Amino acid sequence: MSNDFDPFSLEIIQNSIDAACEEMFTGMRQTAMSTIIYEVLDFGVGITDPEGSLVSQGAGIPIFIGMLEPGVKAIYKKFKAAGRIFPGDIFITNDPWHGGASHLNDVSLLMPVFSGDTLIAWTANKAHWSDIGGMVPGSVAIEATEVYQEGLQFPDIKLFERGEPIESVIDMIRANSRLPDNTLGDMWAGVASLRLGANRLEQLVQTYGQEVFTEALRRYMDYGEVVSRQALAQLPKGTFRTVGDLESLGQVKMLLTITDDHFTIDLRGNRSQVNEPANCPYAVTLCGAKVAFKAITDPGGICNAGVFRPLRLLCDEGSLFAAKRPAPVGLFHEPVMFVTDLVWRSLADVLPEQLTAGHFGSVGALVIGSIHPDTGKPAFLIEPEVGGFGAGLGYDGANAQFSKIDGETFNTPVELNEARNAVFVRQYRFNEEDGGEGEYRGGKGVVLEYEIKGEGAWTTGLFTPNHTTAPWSINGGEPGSSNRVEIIRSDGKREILGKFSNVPLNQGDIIRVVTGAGGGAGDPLRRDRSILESDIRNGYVSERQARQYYGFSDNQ
Amino acid sequence: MATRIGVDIGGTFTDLLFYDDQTSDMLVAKVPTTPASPEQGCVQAVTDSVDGDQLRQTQYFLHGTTVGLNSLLERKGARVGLLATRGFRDILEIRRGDRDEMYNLFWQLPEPLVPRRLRLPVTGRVRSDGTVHIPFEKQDVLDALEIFALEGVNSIAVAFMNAYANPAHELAAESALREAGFSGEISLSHHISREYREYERTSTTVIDAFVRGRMSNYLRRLEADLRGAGFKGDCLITRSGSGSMTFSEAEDRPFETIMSGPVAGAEGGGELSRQLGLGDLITADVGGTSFDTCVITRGRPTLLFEGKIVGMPLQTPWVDVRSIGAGGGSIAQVDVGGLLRVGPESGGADPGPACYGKGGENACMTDAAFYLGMLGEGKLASGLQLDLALAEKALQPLAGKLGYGMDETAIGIMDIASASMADAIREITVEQGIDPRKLKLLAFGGAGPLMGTLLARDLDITGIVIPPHAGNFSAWGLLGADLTRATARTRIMRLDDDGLANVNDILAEMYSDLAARAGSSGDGGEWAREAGLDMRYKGQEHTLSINVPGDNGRVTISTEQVREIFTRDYDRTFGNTMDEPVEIVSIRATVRHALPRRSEGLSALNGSDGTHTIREAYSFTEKKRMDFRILDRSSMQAGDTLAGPAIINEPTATTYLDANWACEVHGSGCLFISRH
Repeated sequence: MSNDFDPFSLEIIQNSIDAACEEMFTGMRQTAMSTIIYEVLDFGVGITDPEGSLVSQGAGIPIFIGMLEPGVKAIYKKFKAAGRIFPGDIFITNDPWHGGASHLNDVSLLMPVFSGDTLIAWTANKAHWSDIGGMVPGSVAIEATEVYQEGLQFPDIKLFERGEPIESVIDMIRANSRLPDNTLGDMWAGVASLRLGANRLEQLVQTYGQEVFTEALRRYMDYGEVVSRQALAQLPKGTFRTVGDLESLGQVKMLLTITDDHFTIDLRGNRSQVNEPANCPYAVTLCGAKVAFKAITDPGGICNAGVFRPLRLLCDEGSLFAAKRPAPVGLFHEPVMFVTDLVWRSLADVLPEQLTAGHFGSVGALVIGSIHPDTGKPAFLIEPEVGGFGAGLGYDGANAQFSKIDGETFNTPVELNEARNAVFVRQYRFNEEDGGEGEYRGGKGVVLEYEIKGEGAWTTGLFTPNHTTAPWSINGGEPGSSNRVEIIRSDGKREILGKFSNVPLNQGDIIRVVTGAGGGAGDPLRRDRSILESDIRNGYVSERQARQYYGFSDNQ
Repeated sequence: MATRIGVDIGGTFTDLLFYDDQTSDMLVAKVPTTPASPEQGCVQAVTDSVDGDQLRQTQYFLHGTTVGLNSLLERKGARVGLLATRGFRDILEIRRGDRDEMYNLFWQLPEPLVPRRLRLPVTGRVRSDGTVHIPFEKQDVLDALEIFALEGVNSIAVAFMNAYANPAHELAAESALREAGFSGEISLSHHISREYREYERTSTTVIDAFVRGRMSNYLRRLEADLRGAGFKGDCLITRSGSGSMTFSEAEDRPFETIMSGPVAGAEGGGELSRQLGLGDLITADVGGTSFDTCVITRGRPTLLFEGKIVGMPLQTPWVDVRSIGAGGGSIAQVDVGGLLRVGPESGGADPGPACYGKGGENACMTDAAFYLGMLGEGKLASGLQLDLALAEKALQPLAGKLGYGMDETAIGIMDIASASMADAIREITVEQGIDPRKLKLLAFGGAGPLMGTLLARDLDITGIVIPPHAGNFSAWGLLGADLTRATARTRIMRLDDDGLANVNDILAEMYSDLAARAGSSGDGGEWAREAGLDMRYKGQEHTLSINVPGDNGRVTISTEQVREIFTRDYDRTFGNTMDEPVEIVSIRATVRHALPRRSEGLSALNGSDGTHTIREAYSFTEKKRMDFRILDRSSMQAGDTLAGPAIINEPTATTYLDANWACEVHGSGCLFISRH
């Protein structure tokens, strides 16, 4: 039976589904109203099979890998049995426990796709909504002790029924957001994106038939599994123990066990959930595990449910990594990134030739809100920041990249922030402070300075866990440097921060973001002298640093 | 009255096509490319094939070249220094912070075109509204110039923050450089683009500075040589985003010509599809060094609004042509793992494949094809007779290393070359959800007609089109390129009656700017004006471009009508509409000077007698050597049909028609090949 399928048609359908994801991604970007979506691209799109298994994921943020999956599953479970999924419906959810989101700002929209009366797939997207209510502007509050303080919750409900918007839901969104125009604009962008993808899938079914389409989905996921298993076979087998320091949240231990069939991450025995917004529901922790698994097994390849079949994640219910409702989750990034890094680190010890030193390790999320002096309307800058990656044995770390859990993410052009977001940018350049020296250098972080132009301004940011702990080095290199944010008041007073929310600012205050260098690899004394001289000429290494770390003297 | 010459310079051969408007006669020539000074081969092709009288009466010289592209690919260009706003010199290296492969945590960024020590800061800062925040500091430019002089910088890129809104500081920097005696090339970012996004604008400016000297020297020498040979008409070069521009404009805006070479064939494919109603096509341009492919839909090559070369963005329209290093001159070798590989290294034209007898010892794809009999007797247009013994000698060591027979080795080379070309075609079709089986393959270039049935086999394509003068089809594509000039300006305003009145004022300025760009190149004649608006709902960032119907570039329709067009296009593109007010963001002006039309289609080759011979060659369909009919393309008349296996010779190319394929000669002279 399965031999009857023409392999070329299957391949075209599979590639067309990937192309449909790209189209959804582009459509969303082109119609969105917030820079966090149209420039930074803090959103993800995907296509699942009827029951919610991921078939393809578009570009965007790796940490959203498979996050759309449990969202579809929850809605399928809630509505399917009741026979209440219709063509033209669109569902909305931001429930972190059902996996439709990581924190309440990440709102998923999901659309069932039909061929006749048969449900054949779902198109889905999730995007960071700039403000969904809650106790502080931007909704992410460092003071939150319960999820109720973090904004409006959409508990797996309908936004459209049979093609018609449900006005009462839209009215509630408008009433609860501090930025209703942007938020609803972004919602419409999400709707447009879902419909683009759905149209494309319907055309595919028309061309190739439902049976071939369904078979193509199934085989695509099976193929993903094969790719992962082949990669698994190349990894060292055994159990690897790592302990890391998550700053104020204490030590985290991890057992990583690799066998021929499974890649098991065991986070049991770690601390229980906390009264601050640093909790991860299980589904969110799983995404961090997936990023690490994908990067280590098959960084260039496809991404669907089959790929992750060998992955296992074990956590205690009620712990930091499987927090229960109503734990606050606004700053989930911190523990998730830590999980990704711990997996990496535990293998770096075993595979020093293959893996790199630590990276700057922060999403570097920065939010600046104010009232624009020219328009009198809210201005809102929200973006992640770039920093240095770790060096490997044989190559320097990359300069100025987004963190491991971000990927196809883009910085906001300076000219655009100045034109729209009520800031003036004083500088944006490499961070030349010490850190990451080695035979192979860690990549450079950046210095970025915003001068506040708006009125009634405030800022929120997340530059941990590294604001006191530097990225690790390998084989005798120097550790990287830590991240920090300085607020320089007009009277010259200076505050140094790592994790902060809703800090009031005045016009003329300066926010200086400094992100760290990645860790170095190998003894700096062994760095090739001609390369070192070129480093000095180009200002990547100062003469003082050359003497202090690299044993450089002028008469060499 | 529009006799013209098209010359397309490829990696291996320089192709010429001369079209006499009065007689509709076409004349073709092919000479080896002279990589060290490509203009020499070009002028030689012209003087060898067109006599002095004809040349003096020729109105247009249309040119496609890879000079700019190769300069970037090989990183052989000017030594560029960048003047950047103080505090922002690392913009070029920070890029946008993205990784090309999002899950790849080992990803390495490409080396920037300007090293950090040559990216120097200049004090002075313009705000986003164009007002000056910090005055321009001339001394910084002079200090930078001293360093540039020590480092041998001969081309300077100037890219300041918010120069799109106010270019005063960039212009001041240019004057300072000139006053201080700098005589090299200068590229200013606001000349290149008046749109925001500093990284993309800086990258484009740096690329412009990098290729500028080489391009303008090349174009000047070429024009001087052509004038010397008696040519009095206009010199035009194709643009990356289709259409053509004069040489003097290209010297000023070289970044617009980076894809000049590969675009010509794609443009020709578009024109042929429109003229003959061929529908959607995949072009397969196989030359000596590279394979270029493009998808033609609704009669036009796919157009992008931003290009990218080895990871560097260019803010300029871009025809989506993909290239890989595979062609007739691609060298076959056995790699360390014992696998047979073909390309990307090429034997070029000199020494070329071993069978050329010019001293080449490497076995190339052409050697394999000739050994298998696919090139018939092996008489080339240039009069060169291929040497079978030399092909055999070159293939022998490969066969030895692989432990294969000679035929098996040659077949392997052809299969591998075809598979890698087919992969490139899959990349631009299947990966975008286009089913290549539903498209026709337009095969051209010196080795395209040779590969046609093999590629069709690998891609499950059932229809192939081979144009006449197939080896020089890119040059034919050049002949149809309209002269175009385009510009855009960002000016955000509401869509209302006042807004539209403003648009018309700005359009008038833009058309006069475009006219000024013509400089001294003198291009009289009719210029059609086209206006476009980039619009969006208030609050959005990205825009949708719409063409505004109007009267000679003025918007004459009402505000309501403009909104209707926007709403209709928006709904078609994104599947919904909004109630928000609509904004105009950018205004686009294009002027187009259509070259006088040629007679429809291509003229067929002149007849010769219908004799043919029989020769043995390898059939990939039958998997054995068998008898092939060998005939001249000029002996085939419109309406004739021919069943494979056969080999059809014409001066610029050889068509290999495998068994189980048949061809029909169309009235246009094209061969329509289909599966039996």
